[in-house]
Amino acid sequence: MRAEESGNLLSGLTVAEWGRGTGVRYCGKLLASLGAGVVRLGPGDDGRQANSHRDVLLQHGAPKESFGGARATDVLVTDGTRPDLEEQQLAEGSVVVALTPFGREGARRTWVASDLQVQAMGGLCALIGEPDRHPLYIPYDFAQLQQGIHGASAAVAAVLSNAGHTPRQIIDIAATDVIASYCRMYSMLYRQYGIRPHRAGRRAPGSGGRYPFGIFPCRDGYVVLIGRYKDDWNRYLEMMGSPAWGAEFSTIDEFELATHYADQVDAHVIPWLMQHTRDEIAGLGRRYNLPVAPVRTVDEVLMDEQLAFRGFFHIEQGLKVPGLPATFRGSPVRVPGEPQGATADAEGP
Amino acid sequence: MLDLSRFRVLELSTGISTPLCGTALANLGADVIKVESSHKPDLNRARAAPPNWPYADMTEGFLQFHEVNAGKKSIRLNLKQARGRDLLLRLVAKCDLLIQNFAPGWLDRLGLSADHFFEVNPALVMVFLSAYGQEGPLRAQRAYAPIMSALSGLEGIVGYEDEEPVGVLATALGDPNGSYFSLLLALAGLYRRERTGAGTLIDLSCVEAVTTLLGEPILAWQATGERPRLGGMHCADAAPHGLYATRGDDRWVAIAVENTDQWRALAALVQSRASAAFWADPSFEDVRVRLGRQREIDGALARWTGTRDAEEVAEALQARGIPAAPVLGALDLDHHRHFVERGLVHWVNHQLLGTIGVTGTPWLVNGEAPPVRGAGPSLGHDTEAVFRDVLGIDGEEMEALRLGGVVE
Repeated sequence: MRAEESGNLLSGLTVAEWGRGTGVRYCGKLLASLGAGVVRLGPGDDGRQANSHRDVLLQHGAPKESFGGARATDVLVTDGTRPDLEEQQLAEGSVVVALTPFGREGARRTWVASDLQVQAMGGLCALIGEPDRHPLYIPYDFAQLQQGIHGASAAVAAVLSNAGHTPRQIIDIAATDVIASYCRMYSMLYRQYGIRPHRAGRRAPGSGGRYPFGIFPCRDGYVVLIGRYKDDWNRYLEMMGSPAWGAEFSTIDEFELATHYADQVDAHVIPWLMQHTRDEIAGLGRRYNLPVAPVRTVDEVLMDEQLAFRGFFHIEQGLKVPGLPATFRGSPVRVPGEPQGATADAEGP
Repeated sequence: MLDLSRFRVLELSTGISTPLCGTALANLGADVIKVESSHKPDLNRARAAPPNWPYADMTEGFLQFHEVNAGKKSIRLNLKQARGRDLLLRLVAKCDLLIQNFAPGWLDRLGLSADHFFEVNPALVMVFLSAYGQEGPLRAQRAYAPIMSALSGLEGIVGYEDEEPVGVLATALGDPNGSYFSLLLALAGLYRRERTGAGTLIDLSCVEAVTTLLGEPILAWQATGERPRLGGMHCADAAPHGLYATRGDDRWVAIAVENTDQWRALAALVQSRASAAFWADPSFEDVRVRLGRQREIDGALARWTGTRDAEEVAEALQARGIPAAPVLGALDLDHHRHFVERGLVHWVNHQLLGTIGVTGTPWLVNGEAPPVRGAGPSLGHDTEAVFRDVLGIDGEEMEALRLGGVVE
């Protein structure tokens, strides 16, 4: 263990949070979870139907205060609806992080959006769903949560960058751009291999160039099977008992197998999978050193032995709530929900 | 512009998650040194060649490698040799941050550990990223991004209404999600270091990082005992809410109506003489009625959007304050006006590939995108310069290291 472990990572950082959206609130929540002092300004809801579960997740226990009465904080995280707050913050030489759907700059800066529009224009929806049906989206404000992570990162980066010079930073993060950056990055693989980056049901387009790369049905649900190397596929065949049908495909190039023969191979693989449960297949995956996992339901996630080992969930209002996704050595991080000032080592047992 | 140039980062990495974190740091000005070896190459340097690839291998040519390694330096160091490990520790002593994502146990097998790094640099911030975390019963299991999203529950919550899950496997979101959590935690560690002088080891689990995004359904299950039903495009507090086919091949527009004013504006826009009675139904001003009759509304709305262009529909609805946007495909992004204006793609030169478009860090700082400082580095391109400038090794000593196979 290292010496000087006292304090939270962001202890001493002060943040004001203004805005109703999930992105702003999650950004504030993350900064508070890492030890920053976050003051919430204005209303806490986003104007939508009351959602106590979302509120439990996004609250961080900081008191409401009027901005005028407080000294300027190091950072203002805002949804962009209060330019007067931004001006005041910048006048103090501090940082503004503006989290909006389409950004503060550009032709679409005035556009309004829910998470759906952000995911649609960011390229995400086009990759989700069956090829002959309408695209899908990810529920629970996925894009805005990603924006919150970026916002928190940018806030700390700006403070580190300032450190005595270059003050008055305004950081403009569009949720659409965040999602687009992810989708474009992955599209480079498809572009280079001549695979159309288009929704392909339960598998990656063209299986991403290697079979398998998909979600497959099994006796009690679904499993994810991934193979990236020729040796992986050989071990999958071995895992399935080295069936005779494997020889049918043995002369086919791996890329061809993934992009043109996936349906035919599926027709052999799925009957085998349907004879086995998710746990059995996951166990075999471990035995054959293959990347295999059950598709979990949320209730099963709560019982995950690895998450339990690492003490990932903490108790808040009698419920298990996901914590920060990391353990820390050298920095006890306050567990959300505990009294201010209390610290706990988030390290697993 | 943000300036993290006073930080030196050592990166031991492969794939997407940690490399993308490193590139974000490089885009913010940090000096990022990627330690590589031909004995254990980044998997994005070892990809199978695409059809008709004119070069011997993909060491320098995989576009996704450049997406997540832009702006870094690369050095080649043989960590299987004791002298190589000694040099790594000397580099660690000169760095502020170490980020790595090799499988738990890899460092141990080399005879290295976080404690060795702390011994030579007590002020070091380290982010060890892995699928499951450095400790625990699953720590050594192989994983890619879809494995993380399957275990976290994400793959199971996306699908058509009341059908079986379809998942989001093609999006591989577990990786960039881990990347930006890694960035946040690394910067937070540096913030603490600046104030206290203390180093920190941060053990980041990508499965946990995805699970933390699913707090809402996880809490709902505990409170109600109900698993989240697959709702397709439906939303509990907005109707209509969906993707509607428009003119063109596989073109769609995303529309959400979140309040009565938006509903009135939509109804006024889309009603025709034939459909006026339907759209003018006053009961639709109650969102509960719209939710109950969403299929009818969806059908009527799709008839209207189906004869129009997606961008045109989005513009018309946005002009009336209604959330709407076209569904873009990944190939649409490079040249779409919004992303061009926002500077999403940075065009850089590469000796092999020519001019390539690299996705930048998607922020504007005082109106400017953080610059991408170049394509991904050639393998070992900066070995000599880094050893000379950081460790003061050059000349005969450097040559001896080369001859001994320590520096590849």
